[in-house]
Amino acid sequence: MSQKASDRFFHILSYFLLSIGSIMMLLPFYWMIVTSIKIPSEIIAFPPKWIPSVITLQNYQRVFRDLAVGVMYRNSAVVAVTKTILMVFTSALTGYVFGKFEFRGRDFLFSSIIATMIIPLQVYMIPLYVMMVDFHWHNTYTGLVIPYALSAYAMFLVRQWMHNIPSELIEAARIDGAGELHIFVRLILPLSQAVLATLVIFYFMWNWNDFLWPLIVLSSPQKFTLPLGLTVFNSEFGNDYGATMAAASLAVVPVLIVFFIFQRHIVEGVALTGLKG
Amino acid sequence: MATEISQRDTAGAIESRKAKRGSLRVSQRRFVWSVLFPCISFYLLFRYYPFIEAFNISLRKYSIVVPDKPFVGFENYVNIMKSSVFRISIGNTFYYAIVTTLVGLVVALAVALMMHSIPRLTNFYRAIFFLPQITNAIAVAMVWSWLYQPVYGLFNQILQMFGLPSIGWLTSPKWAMPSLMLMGIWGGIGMSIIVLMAGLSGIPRVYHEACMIDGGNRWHVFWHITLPLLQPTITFILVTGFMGAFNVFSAVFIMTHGGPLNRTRVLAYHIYQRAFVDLKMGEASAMAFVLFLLVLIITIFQMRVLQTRWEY
Repeated sequence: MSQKASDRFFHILSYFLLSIGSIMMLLPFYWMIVTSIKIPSEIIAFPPKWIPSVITLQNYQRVFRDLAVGVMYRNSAVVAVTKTILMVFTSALTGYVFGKFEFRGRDFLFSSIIATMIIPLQVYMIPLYVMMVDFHWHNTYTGLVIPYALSAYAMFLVRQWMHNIPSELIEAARIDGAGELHIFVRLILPLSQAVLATLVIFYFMWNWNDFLWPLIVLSSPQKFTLPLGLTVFNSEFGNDYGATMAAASLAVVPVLIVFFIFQRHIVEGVALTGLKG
Repeated sequence: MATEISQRDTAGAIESRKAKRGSLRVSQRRFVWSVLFPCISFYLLFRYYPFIEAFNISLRKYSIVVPDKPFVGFENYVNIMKSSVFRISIGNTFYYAIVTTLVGLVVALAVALMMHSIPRLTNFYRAIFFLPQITNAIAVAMVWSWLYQPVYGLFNQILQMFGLPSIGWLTSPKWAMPSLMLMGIWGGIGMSIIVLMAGLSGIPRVYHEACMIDGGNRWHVFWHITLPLLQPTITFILVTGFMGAFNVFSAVFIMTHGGPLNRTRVLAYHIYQRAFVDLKMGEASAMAFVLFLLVLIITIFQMRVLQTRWEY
């Protein structure tokens, strides 16, 4: 077989396999949405109904009746936005300090912070929870956000990025009489835009989906974030498949839309920083 | 590769400047410490203190609702070592983490190679495989619970259509763990694919052509050129993927509650349950420390592997 023919054969095979793979990747999403708009008899019909003959919104009405979807969206948004802004800002500051300043004990301090990354949450969650109770921060967003106001990983990525910013620029700004804070805000932040944008997208996604710490800290349902609300809904109405799929759709679909808008940015961000969830 | 070199150059430039520069000026020092002071306080208060306190708790009979927390020495550690459920959960955790990481890597590598070779639609396929990554893990677990449902679930209905016997995906001791793994792989490969494709695009095309001219076929190119050059990327995926899978929690929490017969009881879930449901916080802390030691050993082992330089 000639090289060209072999290439063509390989391409066709690739397209074929990738299409099958894509169908398998999309199937759970498709089935979720389809189930959510089916009437009960078609949800459990055999053979499975791939396309519903009647479209109903009764499952969604059920969800809106029993789950405060709007409140949970607002809670999740408030928490995720606050946490993300805090984390990215503090990481930019600390990453800059560790990347561009020489001071005694810098490397020791840096490694001591990086070392905390390997402590699993399971190890310190109990004392941290006890601390939240002592501070009267349990069941508050303060308790949810403050213990995660800094991120060693994000700080590490910003510090790596600092190699791309020439120290001469900072030196020149100093000679022009710029204050340190001014240099950070007017010079470092704009020059770090690419890495900070990536961090914003990823930390927003992770914070939006965060589960274990909110599960421990929050106790009153009106403060629940979306993942917690879904958990409660699922344990109460787990057998109402139409309703659970409607609830899941409500949680998933808006995020999918945002993803398709920022798709290129997100994918390039992963390649840029080697981030891993 | 190129960025690595330029980074090293900049680092070199910084080194040489370090010699010229003396200590920081007053304004700089003030800035540095006004950033570092809150930062150090944060890590001492919210990471190092709870870490040490967790060890203290692990040496006590500790429940948050009982004010008396007597010191019992290493009794908790002795008890958990004797507990068969704890040993099972360690085994389950390794089983889950190893299988999902390795199988996930192989699948992701195959998909990434195909996506890299095709002339069109690469972005489209990449976005589709990435979808589960951005989806709420709880919602994903709810959807898969429905797919795995024993009677009306889609998977068993499809099996039935082909006249095959139903499978107790989440209810049979034999299938529960593989079912969770399948979902874990489905959810995780998107990220690996993107990282692998970034690695693939860093391999110069001429290497492939040189190998082809020397009479190599696709398999030769893959085995002798692509795979060795992807080594750092693959190691990265194995390290991060393993750590993520080692801490799997929400899938178990929503879908199986550790059952049936503890077959899906993983450490993260077991610790959570003992601490916040059974309120045995001393015992849970002892288990968490064992988890920490395991993570530490694995990390050190993986760092060793990471530092090994492969010869091309």
